[in-house]
Amino acid sequence: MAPNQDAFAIWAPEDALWTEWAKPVAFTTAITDAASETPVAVPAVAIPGLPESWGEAAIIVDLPGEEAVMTGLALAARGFRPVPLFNGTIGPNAVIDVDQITRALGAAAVPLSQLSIKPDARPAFLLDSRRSELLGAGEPGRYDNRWVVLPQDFPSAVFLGSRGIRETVLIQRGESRPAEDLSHVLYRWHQAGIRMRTIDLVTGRTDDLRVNRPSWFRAAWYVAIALLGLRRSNVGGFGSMVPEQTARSGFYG
Amino acid sequence: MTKDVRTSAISPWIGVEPLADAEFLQLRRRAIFECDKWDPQVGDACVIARYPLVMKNAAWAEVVGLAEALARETRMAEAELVRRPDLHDRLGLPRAMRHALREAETASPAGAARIIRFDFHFTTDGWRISEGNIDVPGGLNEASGFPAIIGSHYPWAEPVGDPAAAYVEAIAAAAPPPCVVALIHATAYSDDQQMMTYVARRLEARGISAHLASPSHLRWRDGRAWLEAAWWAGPLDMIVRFFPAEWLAQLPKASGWRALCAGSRTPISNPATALLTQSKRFPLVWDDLATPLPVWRALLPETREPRSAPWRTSADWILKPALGRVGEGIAMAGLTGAADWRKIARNATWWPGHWVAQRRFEVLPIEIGGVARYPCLGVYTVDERVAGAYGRLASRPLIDSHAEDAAVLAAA
Repeated sequence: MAPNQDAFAIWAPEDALWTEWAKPVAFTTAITDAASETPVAVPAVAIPGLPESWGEAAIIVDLPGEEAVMTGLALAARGFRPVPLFNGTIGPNAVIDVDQITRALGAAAVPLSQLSIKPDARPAFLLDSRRSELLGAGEPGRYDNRWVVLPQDFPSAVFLGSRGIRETVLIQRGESRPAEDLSHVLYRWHQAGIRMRTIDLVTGRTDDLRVNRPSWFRAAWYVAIALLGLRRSNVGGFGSMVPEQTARSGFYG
Repeated sequence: MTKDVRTSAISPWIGVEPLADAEFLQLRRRAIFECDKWDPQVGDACVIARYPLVMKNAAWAEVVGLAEALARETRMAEAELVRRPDLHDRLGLPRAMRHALREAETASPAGAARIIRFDFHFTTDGWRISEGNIDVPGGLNEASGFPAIIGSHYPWAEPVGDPAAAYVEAIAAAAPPPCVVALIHATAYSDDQQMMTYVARRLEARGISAHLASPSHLRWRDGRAWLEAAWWAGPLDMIVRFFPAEWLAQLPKASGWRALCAGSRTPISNPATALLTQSKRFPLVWDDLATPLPVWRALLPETREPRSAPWRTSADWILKPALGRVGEGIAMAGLTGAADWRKIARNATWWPGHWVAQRRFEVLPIEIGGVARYPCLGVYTVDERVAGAYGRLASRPLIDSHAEDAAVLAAA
């Protein structure tokens, strides 16, 4: 098996309940090499208000790149199943540094493999909070690999409920509100009766979260609109506006 | 069905048993890493089928003939539509695209390695097509990759082709290696990049230098395309476009995107003039064309202006957006939720020029592992020769993003 496949097998083991949702794209480069990366120690991340791993909560970690990976590893040590949802494409001179994430996934693979996590452990979905940042996107010639999360990237509220999950805890840094794209996911879950809390690692505060109906909720071409709204200069992969119709993520003719 | 074209009424499918769990897990992982299938899960649904779609050889031969005839008719119709800008207003295209495509009448862009996918369904009336993906057909990584990794489990059947191989050979014929090709796509979409990565790898193996890029990385000098990216800059021998033509119109004028519609001297696969026949409103101008379209007329269900069809009161009619793709935005009685139905009905009422009403057909399901599945057979043509196929199967008679992707095999 190739090194990146080894790393994916550790992060998305075949017997784990949430494996099907793990995104493979960050593992498709040889950089995700568990064997060549120096294994890291499981970090001691202080997360005030963290629910117990046997409780009713699913976790969403929305932190910058490597920190999201390491927080996932720390949560794994506490019995959660980290589920990488990094979906940024890989390209030369890219706007979002995906290599940083893939290296962290490789370095964390060995310590993760040494942890004992139950197959039906509660999930901790890992996101890169830099996924749609503006910085660098307008520079000529850059490879625009910014991305957004979509409802179909996650299990449905029905599925979560069938597994006894009644609460979602969102871990962020310096934010108390979910990112716009994530709010589309959380609003659906909220409508289905799932409770929401946020934890801010900067302030240490934990608050109940009421997710308001996001703009363009269930709107057509949501993905394109979400991305296009970020940047009007069009140096990357998108135009400035897409006419309203109905569609799914991306394009797939 | 016209008098000239008839299709078989005998079921084309051969039932198979799905793979066992352990075999399927291995298949799923190979699909991810060997076929660049990076979107194996959509919501709660796994979209990799644990079985192939197996056809009878005779049925495949019939479909080959139909698809190649469709491809020929499409080429002729597109060529005529390029010369008939008076008809473009009726195709539901963005205004900027219409303006750009008008220029193609006198400066048709250089096309090469023309690739199309026609989506076939076996119905109570024989073969029908739901659409032609004429602009930028996707699914090459699944169509070429999946048969290779599932075939050993069904050794009595054979793959129906390798469309990526045929496509690469067509590109190599248009731009003999060593050469430089840009694969233009929406770079931020991993589900688009996966196919581009797969094709790029096959091109590189053929000795062609392939660059993944966005349309905004293109520059034009005397009608010749150049790539102007931070990682590479220079003239291009060919452009492979996987960026929907209707999105081009939203790019800034300075990007020179109009050259993809008219004026490019660098070969493009496919030129943006493909949008003229990609539109679901293409059938509404058939009677104004001199090109005979007997196979299109036989296989595509009756299509009308929304105002001329009883779609509000009859379940026999469905609504489709003119530039819709992958089954999204379609209103079908009994399948579309009430809220979505209202929204689509409102849009079709307010902007009928961007919609069509089409007579519904009844797809015959096949039973796989005790479950009824509704298959769609996406048949690729490359330069009007059939090159392979891509199977999609759904639990309901609508193929959308939740449908499973399946290898297509054929057997006696």
